[in-house]
Amino acid sequence: MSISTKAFSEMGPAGQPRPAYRKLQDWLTTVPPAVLNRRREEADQIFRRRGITFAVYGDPSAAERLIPFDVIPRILAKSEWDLLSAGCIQRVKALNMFLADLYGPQEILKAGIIPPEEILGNPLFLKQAVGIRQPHGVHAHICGVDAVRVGPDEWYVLEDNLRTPSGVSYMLEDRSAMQRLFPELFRSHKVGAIHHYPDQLLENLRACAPAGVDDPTVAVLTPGSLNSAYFEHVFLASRMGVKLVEGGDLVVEGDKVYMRETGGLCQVHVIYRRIDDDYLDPEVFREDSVLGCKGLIRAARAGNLTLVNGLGNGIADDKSTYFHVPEVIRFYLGEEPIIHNVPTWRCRDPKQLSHVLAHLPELVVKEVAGSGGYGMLVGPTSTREQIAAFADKLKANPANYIAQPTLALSTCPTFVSSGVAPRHVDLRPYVLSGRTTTVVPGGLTRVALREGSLVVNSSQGGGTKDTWVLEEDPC
Amino acid sequence: MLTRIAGNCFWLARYLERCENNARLLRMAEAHTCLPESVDDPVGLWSTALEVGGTLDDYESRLGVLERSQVVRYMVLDRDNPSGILACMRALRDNARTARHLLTEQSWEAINESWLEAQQLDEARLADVGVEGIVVWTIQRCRLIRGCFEDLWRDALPHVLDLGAAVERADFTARILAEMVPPLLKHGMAVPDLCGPVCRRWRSLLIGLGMTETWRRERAQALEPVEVLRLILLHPTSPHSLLVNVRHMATAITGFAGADRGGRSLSIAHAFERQVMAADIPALCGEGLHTFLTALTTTTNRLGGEVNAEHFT
Repeated sequence: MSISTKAFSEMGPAGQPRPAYRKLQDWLTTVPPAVLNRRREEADQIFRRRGITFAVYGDPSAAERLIPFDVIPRILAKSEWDLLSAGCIQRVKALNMFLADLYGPQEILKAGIIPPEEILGNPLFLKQAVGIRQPHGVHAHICGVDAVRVGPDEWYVLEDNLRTPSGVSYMLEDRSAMQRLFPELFRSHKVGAIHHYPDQLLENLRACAPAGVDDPTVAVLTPGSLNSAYFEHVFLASRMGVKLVEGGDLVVEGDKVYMRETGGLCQVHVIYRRIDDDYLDPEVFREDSVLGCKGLIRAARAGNLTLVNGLGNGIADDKSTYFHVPEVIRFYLGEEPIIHNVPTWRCRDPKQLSHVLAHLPELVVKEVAGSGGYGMLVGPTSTREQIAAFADKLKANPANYIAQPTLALSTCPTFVSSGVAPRHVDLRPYVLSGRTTTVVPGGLTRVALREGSLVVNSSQGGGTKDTWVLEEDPC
Repeated sequence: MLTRIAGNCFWLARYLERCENNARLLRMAEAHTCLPESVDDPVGLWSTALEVGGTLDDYESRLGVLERSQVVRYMVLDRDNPSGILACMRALRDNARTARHLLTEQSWEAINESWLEAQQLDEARLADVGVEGIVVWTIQRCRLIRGCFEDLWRDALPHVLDLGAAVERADFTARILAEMVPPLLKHGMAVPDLCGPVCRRWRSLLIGLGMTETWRRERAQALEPVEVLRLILLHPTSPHSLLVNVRHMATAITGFAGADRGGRSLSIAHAFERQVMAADIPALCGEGLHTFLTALTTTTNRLGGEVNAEHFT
């Protein structure tokens, strides 16, 4: 498979915009940069006032930092979205079946599709999750699929985030900001609505309550106000109209979970936890955790609590398992993947390692368990010394790394200090699973604001954009 | 408290409430223009907003065609639109002036300053901050003024202000329900598709009433028409529900007139509460809504007239 090395421009060349961008390009030619700048400042004020911030760990000056917001939307035509969303839904359906199988009968291992030692020997496979029943077989209720585009109809999935994917609050707040700043643009584009996301999420969480509970109580479990995504935890609890709890607010009695309320104990049936597995229950995982609550896993195992997302999902979105996702789709759904994986070399294999070492300047190398853009090498933008140093790390622990070709992420028009210029973007649509699997039309577009940069992570200087999915394809 | 001054304070509170209601109608109609269905329907909720404010006829006779930017100007800047933001600010300030000696300095200054700032509103400012900017400013000023009332002596005045606010809210609730709910009920009683236009229209109703957050906190299930109506009409603690405001009316009349001097207006307020409590929500979703809302509006008007005759003249 060959992947284009030239970045695809989503808007198209000046004067010949692609259909979805025609009206936007016309508008951009009429709106002065001073107006865009003013609107960007207003957006900052809105985000600051609403407290839409995140924290960068290890940087005390960035306890409540704004993610830069780009005022130029990204636009996807209906047909483009139909392809991408179908691919994301297919993928998440298969991954949910995969997780249900791994923590159940393990048919895929018995069929020899994946070598059992790769799963059972992976520390992300949690024995503690075996036998916990997830209603409707849903383990990944919320999944953030990181996708990149390299051509008009060519998308690749970089990773499936099945544990505690964040960022959806930015997707929704970016839309609110755009509607306030540029309402006239919405009057000329039929932009698919996304504000029902929290309602859809709540409906799914309720649908996945333990069997026999007609009117379940849902809560969002946060590590607390110092967590980098605390704003999002507050946002989701508030938009769903459910309680935001910390570990200390919960108590388990008789294998049932309760919140301590002023009126007494109130049973909780579904917990959307934004705490990693390791910290969830000191009875089962880290004994020193003060973030979770003793007995949660016991309650889940007894069928009195649904944990969202499910326990041990890391085994399915691990970078070493990613390699197998196309086979997972074929095995469970009997379908060919709609969206492809990025070709991946697994450095645990000596042959593949030598290929990677020989081509480091062209490749992106990632830690298997890494995230946030940390601990990776982007070959084409690295110095010879950086590459040499990374090669040493790679040789010392090859199983800890995978390598992929450097993708030419597509570009979108972005308002930067020099004016409107193309910048590389990715996209994280949020796939929700309950009785059915759905995705709201849009997602979080992350944009690398530095010219030429391919690193879109907010912790590394990336920004966000509102993502528009048009309800009709332009003529 | 002089009856004349009490009457002015009653209207001060009504205009304060009307100003905020008008701002929320603006927000509702403007937010609707950003939805995909509005691209083919530019009139959208603008006529609804004017009808709820009772100004559609005035608008059409003076300005003609419903066009978004013209409606926005009318709802914000037109001094002759009695429900407009500028006109409401002026009316509430005029009423406050007659009772200035009863208000705290801070209350008066908050009102006067709001009026002074309102006079700075013009087309350029509107273009600069956008509709939502004006809405936010208006609601903040209204809330600031109300907050200052917390410092008033606990004599008759706060009760008169409470009565004005409650009567205006009840009237507004009846009007917005009458305009928006019947067309929605034509789509049936089932829970509408979460991502469809009918569901979004129900949401618009909640935005117009300022009850979006109440709905989020209270809902136990998806947006179901019967439950939305129950929330709007019968929620026992939401400051925007009809029941809470009807109860405020009786409490307020008792507060400024005394339990044994509430007169016919107090009797009407109590009867009003019983009328609301007896609302059969599923039946209202059928044929009974129009009759019920007409009765509400009639009772609100009758109560306003009776209070004026008995206590403010």
